Amino acid sequence: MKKNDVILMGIILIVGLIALFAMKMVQSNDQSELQVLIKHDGVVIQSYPFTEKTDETYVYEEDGERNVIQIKDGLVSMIDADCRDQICVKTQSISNNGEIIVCLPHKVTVEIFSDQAVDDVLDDIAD
Amino acid sequence: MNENTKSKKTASKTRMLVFISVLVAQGMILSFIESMLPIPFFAPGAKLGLANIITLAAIYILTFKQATAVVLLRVILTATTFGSLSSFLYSFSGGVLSLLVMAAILKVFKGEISLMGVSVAGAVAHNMGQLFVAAIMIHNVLIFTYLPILLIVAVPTGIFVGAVAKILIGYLERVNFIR
Repeated sequence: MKKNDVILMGIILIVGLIALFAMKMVQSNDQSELQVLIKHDGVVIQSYPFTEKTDETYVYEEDGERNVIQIKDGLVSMIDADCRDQICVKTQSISNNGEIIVCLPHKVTVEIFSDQAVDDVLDDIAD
Repeated sequence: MNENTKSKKTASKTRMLVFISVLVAQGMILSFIESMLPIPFFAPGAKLGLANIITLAAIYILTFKQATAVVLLRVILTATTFGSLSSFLYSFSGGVLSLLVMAAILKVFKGEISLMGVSVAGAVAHNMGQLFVAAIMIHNVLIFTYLPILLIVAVPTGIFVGAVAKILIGYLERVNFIR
């Protein structure tokens, strides 16, 4: 390892850490009027208002592709899928605005989305 | 005399062809092994990047043109034997972007940066290429929220890949296969 290696790795680590903390800050900042959006190919196929009390299980099934999404105890997780890589099932459950679970082979995404952010912008325009 | 040099030229051409084929085959096997490894839960999409060992060795030993052939052949053959169209797009974007970045860095900083640094940069480029394709495939830019954790993971995996590539290059130079 040479000096330039250490500099390069240091920069990548610092950028990664700063981005990670900034992201967490933004994500935990806005916790009002959250929604869970389940999308396939970018199109919303199901949405639920998301609170601590939400208790829903959604089964996506199309063309022999299956994903089971569970919303419970203030956490959203992909509890089952028949995709080949199983990355979505192993992804940690999400609970903050802007977080996402992706099933790439099925093009299914589950994201937490805040209406508040959109409302704020609309209010600003109205004012 | 003339006949002799001609046959020597053909022999070295054949050697090069065999050498490139061996690298492609090794890359394919490493891609296959990679697909059997478990995925860490905290970083979806994070991988060791074993096939990058071969890309790194190819860039280091061969010309840019030959290294490009190694990467393209590996990506195409792996997708047609083990994968699908979407897995081809992911490995193509990741493989080509990391090839370009690593070759550029090696050229610019030649002698001032070791294989570890080049390898880490390649790992980062690989992740970015794959995330771009993924974002287009699922029509969702939120997938870029995975980038920070992937950047952090790229450092240890890149060091590992660089270290292995260094050993591999050492062996390859010792057997004098290419000359």
